[in-house]
Amino acid sequence: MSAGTPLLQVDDIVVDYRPRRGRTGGPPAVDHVSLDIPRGRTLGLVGQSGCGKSSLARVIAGLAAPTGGTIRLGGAELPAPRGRTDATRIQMVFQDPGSALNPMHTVRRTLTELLLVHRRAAGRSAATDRAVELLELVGLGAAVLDARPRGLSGGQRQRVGIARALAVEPEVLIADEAVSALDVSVQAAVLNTLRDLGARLDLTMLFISHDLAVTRYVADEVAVMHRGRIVERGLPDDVLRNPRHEYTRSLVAATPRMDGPALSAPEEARPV
Amino acid sequence: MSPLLRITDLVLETGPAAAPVRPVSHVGFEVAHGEAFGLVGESGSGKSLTLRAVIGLLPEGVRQAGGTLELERDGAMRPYRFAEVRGRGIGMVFQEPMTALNPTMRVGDLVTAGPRARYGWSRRAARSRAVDLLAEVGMPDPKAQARMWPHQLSGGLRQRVMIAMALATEPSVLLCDEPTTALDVAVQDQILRLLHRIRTERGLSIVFVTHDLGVVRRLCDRVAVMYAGQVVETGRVEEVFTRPTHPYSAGLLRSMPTQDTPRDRPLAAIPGGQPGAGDRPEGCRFAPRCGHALPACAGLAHVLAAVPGSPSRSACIRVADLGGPPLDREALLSPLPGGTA
Repeated sequence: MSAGTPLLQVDDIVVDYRPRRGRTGGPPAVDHVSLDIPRGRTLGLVGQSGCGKSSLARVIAGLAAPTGGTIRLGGAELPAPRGRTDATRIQMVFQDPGSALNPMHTVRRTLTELLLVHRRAAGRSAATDRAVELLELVGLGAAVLDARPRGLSGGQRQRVGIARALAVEPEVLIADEAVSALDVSVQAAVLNTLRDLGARLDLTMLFISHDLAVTRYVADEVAVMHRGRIVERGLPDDVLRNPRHEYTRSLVAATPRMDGPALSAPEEARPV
Repeated sequence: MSPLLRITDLVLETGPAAAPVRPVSHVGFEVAHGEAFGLVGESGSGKSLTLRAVIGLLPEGVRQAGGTLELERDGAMRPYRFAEVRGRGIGMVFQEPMTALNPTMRVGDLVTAGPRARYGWSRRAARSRAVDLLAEVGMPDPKAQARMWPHQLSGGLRQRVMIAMALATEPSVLLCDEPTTALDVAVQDQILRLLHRIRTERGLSIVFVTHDLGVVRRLCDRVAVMYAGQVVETGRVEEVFTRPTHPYSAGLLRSMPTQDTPRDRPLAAIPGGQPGAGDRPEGCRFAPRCGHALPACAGLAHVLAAVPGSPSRSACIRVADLGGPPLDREALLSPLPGGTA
């Protein structure tokens, strides 16, 4: 890990969905989480559904206000709600590329409107040129400009989702289960693109997934979230091979592996 | 092991009869008594439609245009009518435990609705049977849970209820359509263990449809890999997954990151995408994406042939050229001088 101040500093974030009166029962969705990502690095955030990872992502992206805690980017605190300029600095790629894009808009309109609104291009033709550049960056091309989401495959849609996130030149990209809805062979190509972009654009990324093997592949560091808290953080191979927290151990054990034991293997044939 | 379920030359069509589109063409496989058989493929490969055709639950607009479906009864393989096997010889577990359970029925009533209708069980007999079944599928408090509504249960427990429903009519084959896809890995593992246990205890056969190779590896004995509506390779799981005999299976295996994938190299993605049912190429349907394709591949009739030196069957004509068995994944995917991209 490089030294110096981390680009993104998330400090003591709490997200509590329970009504203010009578906060009983379990912990809040995000329970005093702090994490930081150095510039140009990718932090993987792993956990099961309901662990709070998407709530945390939405707060970091500025899509929701936290109950408590602060988010700093480049040392300065980001207000909630964010102003127009701050809003573009952290962008998100969503899980379901089918529903994250407006089905009525062509790819051209999705990208050029965004570029014009955020003054990333002067005029329509400059915006179209930039849209094509963005599409090429994510492995598509001008050919999909006039397609609507329905006419694209899942992998192509997710690439458009990435291009849209990159259009406003963010400093931090959050990928929330961005490849989990994709087929294996398509997923590999999108992962390659994400990693390649991270390196070329010196992007700082928060890669959120329930899949340990996928996260290990893309992340420089992995944090494991469980019941609203970060329970373990470390280098990917350390976390996967020598998990220290009990929860991480159970997660690793439950993940099906291609070289893992079949259930019909004698030592595995114990009752549920 | 003797066969229990045999599907031969299954053809499914949609669209106008004059110009039909075939999402599934000439798919066949055989499942033995007590065997867990995996049907694996990416979305659009036709795996779920194939499974639904086995029990005659095709979505509207899709029809069976050919093929025979046979089930072993009294020692002989016989073609069956769907009404004979639904909720009797063949049970089904669906993907979405959230939507596949009737929300207006209590769990206990759901579990025994099938046998009550079929065998005319009394309400009292059904109740006690429901509790037994819920216990068998590992519900922690079956008596209390029989009185609950589906929405009061977690996803994993709902999936257990669905399995209990399928078991209620004592099937000999359990069809499972991605039953763990919507679940967390820890819960998924519990459900896989449950399926393995009831299969062992009851001597049940399982046909398990999934896109997840790791799940097949964990549960199944044999596997058929589907691509663009056809089976491209079939064999024992440990063979197919360690020595694949089709470039598509090999590509799938390579593109999946594992805990040991080198992190300093790009993943081996398969270029392009699977063609839709309406625009599948002539000959080998994988050829346009295949690094080993020859001109001959474009005119190839689809045949699942035995592979010399391997127990698997493959639709690839280049298997023998690709180094000869035993084939390893690396050899199969490294480019050959004769291959065109």
